[in-house]
Amino acid sequence: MSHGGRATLFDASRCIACRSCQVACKQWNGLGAESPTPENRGGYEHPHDLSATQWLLIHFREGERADGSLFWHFCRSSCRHCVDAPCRQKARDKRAVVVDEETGAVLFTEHSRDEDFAAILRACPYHIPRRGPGGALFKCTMCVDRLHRGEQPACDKACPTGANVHGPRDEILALARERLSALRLRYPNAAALDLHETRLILLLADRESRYKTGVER
Amino acid sequence: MTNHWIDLKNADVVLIMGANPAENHPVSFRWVSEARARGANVIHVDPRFTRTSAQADLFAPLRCGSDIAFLGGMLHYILEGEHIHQDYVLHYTNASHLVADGFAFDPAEGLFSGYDPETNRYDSDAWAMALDEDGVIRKDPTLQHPRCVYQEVRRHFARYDITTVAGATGTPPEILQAVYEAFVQGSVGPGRAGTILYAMGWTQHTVGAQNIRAMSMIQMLLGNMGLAGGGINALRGESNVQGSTDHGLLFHVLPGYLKTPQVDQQTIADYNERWTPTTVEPRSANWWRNTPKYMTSYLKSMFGDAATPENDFAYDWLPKLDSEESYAWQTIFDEMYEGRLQGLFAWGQNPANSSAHASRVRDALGRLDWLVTVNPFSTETAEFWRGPGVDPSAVATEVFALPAAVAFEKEGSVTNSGRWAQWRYEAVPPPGDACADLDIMNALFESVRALYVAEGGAAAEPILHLKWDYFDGRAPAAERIAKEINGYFTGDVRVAGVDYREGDLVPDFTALQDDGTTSSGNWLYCGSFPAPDPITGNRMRRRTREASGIGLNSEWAWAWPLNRRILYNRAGVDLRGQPFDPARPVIQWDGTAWVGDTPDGGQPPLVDRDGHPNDAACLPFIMHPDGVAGLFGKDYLRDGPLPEHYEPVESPLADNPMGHRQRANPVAHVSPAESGNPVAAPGDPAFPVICTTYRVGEHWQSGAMTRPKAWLNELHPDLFVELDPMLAAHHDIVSGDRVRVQSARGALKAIAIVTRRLKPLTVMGATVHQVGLPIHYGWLAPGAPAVRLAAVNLLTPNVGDPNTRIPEFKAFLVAIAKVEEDGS
Repeated sequence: MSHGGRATLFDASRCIACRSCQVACKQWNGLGAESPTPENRGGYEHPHDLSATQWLLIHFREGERADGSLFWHFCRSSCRHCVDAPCRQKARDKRAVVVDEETGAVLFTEHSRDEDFAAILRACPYHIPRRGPGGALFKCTMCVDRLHRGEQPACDKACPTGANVHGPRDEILALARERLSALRLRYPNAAALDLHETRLILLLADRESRYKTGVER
Repeated sequence: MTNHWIDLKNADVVLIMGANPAENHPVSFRWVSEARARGANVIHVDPRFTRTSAQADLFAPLRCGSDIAFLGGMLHYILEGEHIHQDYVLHYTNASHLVADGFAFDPAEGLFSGYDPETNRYDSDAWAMALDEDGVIRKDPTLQHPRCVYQEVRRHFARYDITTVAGATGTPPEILQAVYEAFVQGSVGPGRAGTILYAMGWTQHTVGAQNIRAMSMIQMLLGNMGLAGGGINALRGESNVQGSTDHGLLFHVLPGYLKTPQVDQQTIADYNERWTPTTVEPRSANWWRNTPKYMTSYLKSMFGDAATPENDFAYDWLPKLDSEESYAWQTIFDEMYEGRLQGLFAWGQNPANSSAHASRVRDALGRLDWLVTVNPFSTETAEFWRGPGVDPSAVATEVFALPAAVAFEKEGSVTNSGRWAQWRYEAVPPPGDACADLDIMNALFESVRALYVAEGGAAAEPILHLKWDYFDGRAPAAERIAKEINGYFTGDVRVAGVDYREGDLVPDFTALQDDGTTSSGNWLYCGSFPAPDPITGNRMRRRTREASGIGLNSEWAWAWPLNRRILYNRAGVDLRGQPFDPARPVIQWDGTAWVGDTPDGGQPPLVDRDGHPNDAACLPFIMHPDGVAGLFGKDYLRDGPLPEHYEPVESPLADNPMGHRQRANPVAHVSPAESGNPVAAPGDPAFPVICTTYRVGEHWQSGAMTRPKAWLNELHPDLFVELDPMLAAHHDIVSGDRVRVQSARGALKAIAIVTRRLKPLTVMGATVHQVGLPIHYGWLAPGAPAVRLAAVNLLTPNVGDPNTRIPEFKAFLVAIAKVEEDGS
């Protein structure tokens, strides 16, 4: 079942962690820097978490396999726009979390300020929503404003390697399956995560445990 | 690049060495990804596992500064395993040419013949070729003669066996073997091509030019030059650094790589005699024979009507170099430090951060009378007088900071690494007082000329007679200058059966003349703007994508020379003109003409349809007097006709792993120690750790343009040092700690990133550790604690390559220690 609407494929095998998507997201959505005096915390992953003004984050995880080879995997954390969104089910006021009919984007509104944030965060399988200073909840909007004008999302437009690909959900699912079967020739552990449940599909080239997906399961 | 960015998709194997394109040239990875999707193998060789390695099929770690040993091992593998492309090597390289008896390499001393220990220089005449009585190079097409280049090269690299190479590089032998096999397998055989991507990781060494030469030899032996998906591809460090090099940025060349005149060339006849190569080799096009046409046309573009046959086309008015003297970046600051330079324009530059041994550079800036900086943002150079540890009242230098427009606020051309000149328009006007560089230059020049008119002065003629009519407002100055670069007919001329009138634009450089009837500011760009219409005449504006084909995109913008997209493309075909790779032909002889890319010369193939030699043909490497690619040669580099492994000036080894007495490059440039240039002794126990420097994708150059941008700065907010877990444990350091890094020049503090992506290596039986720091930081980042935002070049040595004078930023020695809570 495709459920129509739109979807994004994040193909980790093509991601070089340039983080153009992370910056483009802030630029299009008018979100400021997290701190006037940012600090290095001993790694590459900055800023260190999603926030009401940080809707997309590229995670880094490195390690050494049993054969001594190294890996350094990059993964995208942002709202997956669930087909049947638990955050929406959890909301007491149905106006707080709405779904854009045309695209399927899951959107938080100003009514989310009266919601039980902890309950909504617990409901999210991917630990995405964040509360802003005024109480309202924030996360990725799938750039619905751009989509309604016939433009692609900012993250997709900024990606230099085709790691972020956005389009009609049918086409994206087909692309995900096509890329997955090609990837498996080189990477037997490749997998597409939550193909049927979400509108942000993660295509991984290695075991899921070697990625920091933002969700430990 | 011999090829271009999009062409990377055609490679069957991609060797990335001395570069980190996923981080520093991210858009290139679109094409690397396409090659991978087609099944290409990607190999990354680097001291550190980077975001590029993360995308590679094979990663090989190596010790900083051991690239020639690594590549020498590959040459050994190719030659001993006879993996060469036989036809290519025989016909398109000088493998069969015989070397004269004067040449030798002494494996015990580690020196080539011709070395003078008094001057630390080589006399390259000791590396000459053997000539017959007619002056033609003697050849042995069987490649068996002991003095033929092929055998000389084989003998030279016989010493680079896997065990020796592994001892020098620290790369495990099985990984060396895997890299050599993968690159050769991907390159050799019909329909295969291997490409190489390199950047500053190769050039910033005291053997930088020889690093590139070693790889070029591999590409020639494997027949990878001139093919789609092949070539030697330098990933240039700025969007328009190719353009600025083409247009004479460097001291030793004028625009179009014409040599800068020297004092012993007092007339244009002297100049032409010295720099116009001759050849008696049959079928060699020897393209530089046209040097007088390009030089005269250049002088006509500089001085217009004032350049006449009677005054040697005003050749006198060009400045002359003192022979053999360097005017390179290092020399400028050496001279400044010694008080022999009074003023400096730092135009789009931030030397207080970006120069080796930056504290000495900052001292040198304080010895100037005046300093002008031109930049969109303030820089550590503009504010050196109030930098860390500087007392402003003690600095007498007068500093002028001029605000410049950024790229999107001005019109003009940008030439990318693939030699594509692309025209850009002004998207928004510059803010405030900021001006386009051209407008700043014009204001400056008008003022200087007015002073000369009013007051006279030494050598006034070149100022008073400079052709400078680009700013009269009749057309945008950038367009007028682009036409000047293309060139005009300055008289009525008939060329190749076509009549041209004075004022017509020159169609391409084959029409340029040496009698003063043509002008061209840069012969290589002649043809970029061949017609007066500002839209259709400007071929750099073209934006037609290729519908099908191998990605040449010949109607998109314009590439020098003559819109040729893949250089040396006549070496990508067999003797009959048929492509070595029929599935991805660059050019092809159809019986009467070449089809495809602009060929490297339109002459017919070397043999005709019946296999008979074709007298009208010419050899493929048209810029070389011999017509073929040089595996060995006396005229290329100052430090030898072949690459040899030498240690970095600062290295932990007291001996050369090749077993000879010469430890470091004998002709490397080392600034005198008594002029404030300390260098650690080989194996100095005070500095036991190898250090290298690099970039991250989130910042640009010295950080002057990216640190003020909060979105970028928060991605990589602080100077960091990466180190391996074993070294970190030894010093009780964990990620996030502050670490003191000290070299013989200075010390700084950085945030530790402890990572397995750096591994201790076993070099000559001992364990060596390598650390690395990025180059982008300085004290001017907004709001950040100054103590941590040091420039990494406080550490780097003021030593350099003897050919290019590029400093050895990539391999030097440091000591590290944890900074305790109290800051000690």
